[in-house]
Amino acid sequence: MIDSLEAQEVISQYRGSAIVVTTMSTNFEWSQVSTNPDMDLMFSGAMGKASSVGLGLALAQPDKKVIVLDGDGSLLMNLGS
Amino acid sequence: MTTESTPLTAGRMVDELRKCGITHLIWLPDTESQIVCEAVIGQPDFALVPVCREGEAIAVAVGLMLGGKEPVVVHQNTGFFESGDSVRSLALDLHLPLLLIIGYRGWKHGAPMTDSAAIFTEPILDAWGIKYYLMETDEDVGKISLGYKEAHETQKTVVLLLGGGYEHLD
Repeated sequence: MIDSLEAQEVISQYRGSAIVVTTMSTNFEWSQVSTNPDMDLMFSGAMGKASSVGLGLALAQPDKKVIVLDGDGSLLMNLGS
Repeated sequence: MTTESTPLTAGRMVDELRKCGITHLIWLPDTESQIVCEAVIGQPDFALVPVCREGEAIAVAVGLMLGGKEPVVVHQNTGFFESGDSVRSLALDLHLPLLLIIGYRGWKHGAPMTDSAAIFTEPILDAWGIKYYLMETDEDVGKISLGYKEAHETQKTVVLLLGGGYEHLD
Protein backbone atom coordinates (compact mmCIF):
# COMPACT_ATOMS: atom_id res chain seq x y z
CA MET A 1 0.00 0.00 0.00
CA ILE A 2 1.22 3.48 -0.81
CA ASP A 3 2.61 5.45 2.10
CA SER A 4 0.42 8.31 3.31
CA LEU A 5 3.09 10.96 2.87
CA GLU A 6 3.95 9.66 -0.57
CA ALA A 7 0.29 9.83 -1.57
CA GLN A 8 0.05 13.41 -0.39
CA GLU A 9 3.12 14.34 -2.43
CA VAL A 10 1.28 13.15 -5.51
CA ILE A 11 -1.88 15.05 -4.52
CA SER A 12 0.22 18.17 -4.02
CA GLN A 13 1.58 17.89 -7.55
CA TYR A 14 -1.92 17.88 -9.02
CA ARG A 15 -3.85 20.10 -6.61
CA GLY A 16 -3.60 23.23 -8.76
CA SER A 17 -5.53 26.02 -7.03
CA ALA A 18 -7.70 23.67 -5.00
CA ILE A 19 -8.46 24.43 -1.36
CA VAL A 20 -7.07 21.63 0.80
CA VAL A 21 -8.64 20.88 4.18
CA THR A 22 -6.69 18.72 6.63
CA THR A 23 -7.02 17.58 10.21
CA MET A 24 -5.10 15.52 12.77
CA SER A 25 -2.16 13.58 11.29
CA THR A 26 -2.67 14.92 7.80
CA ASN A 27 -1.93 18.40 9.17
CA PHE A 28 1.66 17.39 9.82
CA GLU A 29 2.12 15.44 6.63
CA TRP A 30 0.48 17.93 4.30
CA SER A 31 2.50 20.81 5.72
CA GLN A 32 5.63 18.97 4.55
CA VAL A 33 4.50 18.67 0.95
CA SER A 34 2.13 21.57 0.25
CA THR A 35 3.41 24.19 -2.16
CA ASN A 36 0.41 26.50 -1.81
CA PRO A 37 -0.12 27.04 1.94
CA ASP A 38 -2.32 30.10 1.34
CA MET A 39 -4.98 27.73 0.09
CA ASP A 40 -4.62 25.22 2.93
CA LEU A 41 -6.97 25.01 5.91
CA MET A 42 -5.53 22.93 8.71
CA PHE A 43 -7.75 22.13 11.66
CA SER A 44 -6.13 20.86 14.81
CA GLY A 45 -8.23 19.26 17.52
CA ALA A 46 -11.15 18.89 15.16
CA MET A 47 -11.14 15.17 14.47
CA GLY A 48 -13.99 14.15 12.20
CA LYS A 49 -14.89 17.69 11.17
CA ALA A 50 -12.78 18.17 8.05
CA SER A 51 -15.19 16.54 5.62
CA SER A 52 -18.06 18.73 6.82
CA VAL A 53 -15.98 21.89 6.68
CA GLY A 54 -14.98 20.88 3.17
CA LEU A 55 -18.63 20.42 2.25
CA GLY A 56 -19.43 23.90 3.55
CA LEU A 57 -16.56 25.40 1.60
CA ALA A 58 -17.65 23.62 -1.57
CA LEU A 59 -21.20 24.93 -1.13
CA ALA A 60 -19.89 28.46 -0.56
CA GLN A 61 -17.40 28.39 -3.43
CA PRO A 62 -18.86 26.06 -6.05
CA ASP A 63 -16.34 27.18 -8.68
CA LYS A 64 -13.40 26.10 -6.57
CA LYS A 65 -12.15 22.56 -6.12
CA VAL A 66 -12.00 21.44 -2.49
CA ILE A 67 -9.87 18.49 -1.37
CA VAL A 68 -10.25 16.98 2.10
CA LEU A 69 -7.41 14.90 3.52
CA ASP A 70 -8.98 12.90 6.32
CA GLY A 71 -7.74 10.08 8.47
CA ASP A 72 -9.52 6.74 8.64
CA GLY A 73 -10.69 7.43 12.19
CA SER A 74 -11.85 10.93 11.31
CA LEU A 75 -13.80 9.62 8.34
CA LEU A 76 -15.53 7.01 10.47
CA MET A 77 -16.52 9.69 12.97
CA ASN A 78 -18.49 11.57 10.35
CA LEU A 79 -19.61 9.36 7.50
CA GLY A 80 -22.78 11.44 7.12
CA SER A 81 -20.94 14.15 5.24
CA MET B 1 -45.90 34.85 26.90
CA THR B 2 -49.14 36.69 27.58
CA THR B 3 -52.41 35.70 26.03
CA GLU B 4 -52.27 38.82 23.83
CA SER B 5 -48.87 37.96 22.36
CA THR B 6 -48.58 36.43 18.92
CA PRO B 7 -46.78 33.11 18.88
CA LEU B 8 -43.61 33.00 16.80
CA THR B 9 -44.49 32.84 13.15
CA ALA B 10 -42.21 31.40 10.53
CA GLY B 11 -42.77 34.25 8.08
CA ARG B 12 -41.60 36.89 10.56
CA MET B 13 -38.53 34.87 11.45
CA VAL B 14 -37.62 34.32 7.81
CA ASP B 15 -38.02 38.05 7.11
CA GLU B 16 -35.64 38.81 9.97
CA LEU B 17 -33.11 36.25 8.74
CA ARG B 18 -33.33 37.87 5.32
CA LYS B 19 -32.63 41.29 6.86
CA CYS B 20 -29.44 39.88 8.36
CA GLY B 21 -28.29 38.62 4.99
CA ILE B 22 -28.44 34.97 5.97
CA THR B 23 -27.64 32.82 2.93
CA HIS B 24 -27.84 29.24 4.23
CA LEU B 25 -29.86 27.38 6.85
CA ILE B 26 -28.09 24.25 8.03
CA TRP B 27 -30.84 22.15 9.45
CA LEU B 28 -31.43 18.90 11.24
CA PRO B 29 -35.20 18.50 11.43
CA ASP B 30 -36.89 18.82 14.82
CA THR B 31 -40.33 19.67 16.12
CA GLU B 32 -39.63 23.18 17.37
CA SER B 33 -37.73 24.57 14.42
CA GLN B 34 -39.23 22.78 11.44
CA ILE B 35 -41.60 25.64 10.70
CA VAL B 36 -38.70 27.99 10.04
CA CYS B 37 -36.89 25.69 7.68
CA GLU B 38 -40.01 24.60 5.85
CA ALA B 39 -40.78 28.28 5.29
CA VAL B 40 -37.55 28.85 3.38
CA ILE B 41 -37.96 25.87 1.06
CA GLY B 42 -38.24 27.20 -2.47
CA GLN B 43 -37.18 30.72 -1.58
CA PRO B 44 -34.37 31.70 -3.96
CA ASP B 45 -32.43 33.81 -1.49
CA PHE B 46 -31.95 30.96 0.98
CA ALA B 47 -30.27 27.61 0.59
CA LEU B 48 -31.39 24.86 2.93
CA VAL B 49 -28.67 22.34 3.80
CA PRO B 50 -30.04 19.24 5.51
CA VAL B 51 -27.59 17.26 7.62
CA CYS B 52 -27.54 13.91 9.41
CA ARG B 53 -25.96 15.01 12.67
CA GLU B 54 -25.78 18.25 14.62
CA GLY B 55 -22.00 18.19 14.98
CA GLU B 56 -21.84 18.00 11.22
CA ALA B 57 -24.11 21.05 10.96
CA ILE B 58 -21.65 23.20 12.88
CA ALA B 59 -18.72 22.12 10.69
CA VAL B 60 -20.68 22.72 7.46
CA ALA B 61 -21.57 26.20 8.74
CA VAL B 62 -17.93 26.89 9.51
CA GLY B 63 -16.98 25.88 5.98
CA LEU B 64 -19.63 28.20 4.60
CA MET B 65 -18.42 31.08 6.76
CA LEU B 66 -14.82 30.52 5.68
CA GLY B 67 -16.11 30.55 2.11
CA GLY B 68 -17.72 33.96 2.61
CA LYS B 69 -21.35 33.01 3.24
CA GLU B 70 -23.69 33.81 6.12
CA PRO B 71 -25.14 30.58 7.48
CA VAL B 72 -27.32 29.93 10.48
CA VAL B 73 -27.57 26.53 12.14
CA VAL B 74 -30.99 25.30 13.23
CA HIS B 75 -31.46 22.31 15.50
CA GLN B 76 -32.81 21.21 18.88
CA ASN B 77 -31.24 21.58 22.33
CA THR B 78 -30.69 17.82 22.41
CA GLY B 79 -28.72 18.25 19.18
CA PHE B 80 -26.76 21.10 20.66
CA PHE B 81 -25.49 18.70 23.28
CA GLU B 82 -24.48 16.31 20.52
CA SER B 83 -22.66 19.07 18.65
CA GLY B 84 -20.57 20.13 21.63
CA ASP B 85 -17.18 19.12 20.28
CA SER B 86 -17.79 20.88 16.97
CA VAL B 87 -18.90 24.05 18.75
CA ARG B 88 -15.78 23.88 20.91
CA SER B 89 -13.16 22.99 18.32
CA LEU B 90 -14.46 25.09 15.44
CA ALA B 91 -16.82 27.91 16.38
CA LEU B 92 -15.33 28.82 19.76
CA ASP B 93 -11.66 28.04 19.14
CA LEU B 94 -11.65 29.83 15.79
CA HIS B 95 -13.69 32.78 17.15
CA LEU B 96 -16.27 32.57 14.41
CA PRO B 97 -19.58 34.48 14.56
CA LEU B 98 -21.83 31.45 14.51
CA LEU B 99 -25.55 32.08 14.95
CA LEU B 100 -27.44 29.07 16.28
CA ILE B 101 -31.21 28.76 16.46
CA ILE B 102 -32.04 26.05 18.96
CA GLY B 103 -35.42 24.49 19.58
CA TYR B 104 -35.91 24.58 23.33
CA ARG B 105 -37.40 21.14 23.90
CA GLY B 106 -39.02 20.82 27.31
CA TRP B 107 -39.35 24.54 27.95
CA LYS B 108 -42.70 26.09 28.77
CA HIS B 109 -43.25 29.64 29.93
CA GLY B 110 -43.90 29.81 33.64
CA ALA B 111 -44.02 26.05 34.10
CA PRO B 112 -41.47 23.93 35.94
CA MET B 113 -39.06 22.11 33.66
CA THR B 114 -39.14 18.33 33.96
CA ASP B 115 -37.31 17.41 30.75
CA SER B 116 -33.55 17.21 31.32
CA ALA B 117 -33.04 18.58 27.80
CA ALA B 118 -34.52 21.85 29.02
CA ILE B 119 -33.04 21.70 32.50
CA PHE B 120 -29.48 21.48 31.20
CA THR B 121 -29.72 23.87 28.23
CA GLU B 122 -29.11 27.25 29.85
CA PRO B 123 -26.60 26.01 32.46
CA ILE B 124 -24.52 24.48 29.67
CA LEU B 125 -24.65 27.64 27.57
CA ASP B 126 -23.62 29.63 30.66
CA ALA B 127 -20.77 27.22 31.40
CA TRP B 128 -19.47 27.57 27.85
CA GLY B 129 -19.75 31.36 27.95
CA ILE B 130 -22.22 31.43 25.08
CA LYS B 131 -24.64 34.35 24.99
CA TYR B 132 -28.26 33.41 24.34
CA TYR B 133 -31.65 35.00 23.87
CA LEU B 134 -35.04 33.43 24.41
CA MET B 135 -37.61 33.91 21.66
CA GLU B 136 -41.22 33.29 22.64
CA THR B 137 -43.41 35.52 20.50
CA ASP B 138 -43.32 37.55 17.32
CA GLU B 139 -42.32 40.51 19.45
CA ASP B 140 -39.00 38.72 19.93
CA VAL B 141 -38.00 38.30 16.28
CA GLY B 142 -35.75 41.36 16.56
CA LYS B 143 -33.50 39.18 18.69
CA ILE B 144 -32.42 37.46 15.48
CA SER B 145 -30.81 40.68 14.24
CA LEU B 146 -29.56 41.44 17.72
CA GLY B 147 -27.90 38.04 18.00
CA TYR B 148 -26.49 38.23 14.49
CA LYS B 149 -25.00 41.66 15.16
CA GLU B 150 -23.58 40.57 18.50
CA ALA B 151 -22.04 37.44 17.00
CA HIS B 152 -20.23 39.50 14.39
CA GLU B 153 -19.16 42.26 16.74
CA THR B 154 -17.78 39.85 19.32
CA GLN B 155 -16.69 37.09 16.91
CA LYS B 156 -18.45 34.63 19.16
CA THR B 157 -21.24 32.10 18.97
CA VAL B 158 -24.69 33.42 19.87
CA VAL B 159 -27.72 31.22 20.48
CA LEU B 160 -31.40 31.98 19.94
CA LEU B 161 -33.62 29.64 21.95
CA LEU B 162 -37.00 28.92 20.40
CA GLY B 163 -39.39 28.65 23.32
CA GLY B 164 -43.10 29.04 23.71
CA GLY B 165 -45.69 28.68 21.01
CA TYR B 166 -45.12 28.93 17.31
CA GLU B 167 -47.37 28.81 14.32
CA HIS B 168 -46.79 28.24 10.66
CA LEU B 169 -48.33 31.52 9.58
CA ASP B 170 -47.04 34.13 7.17
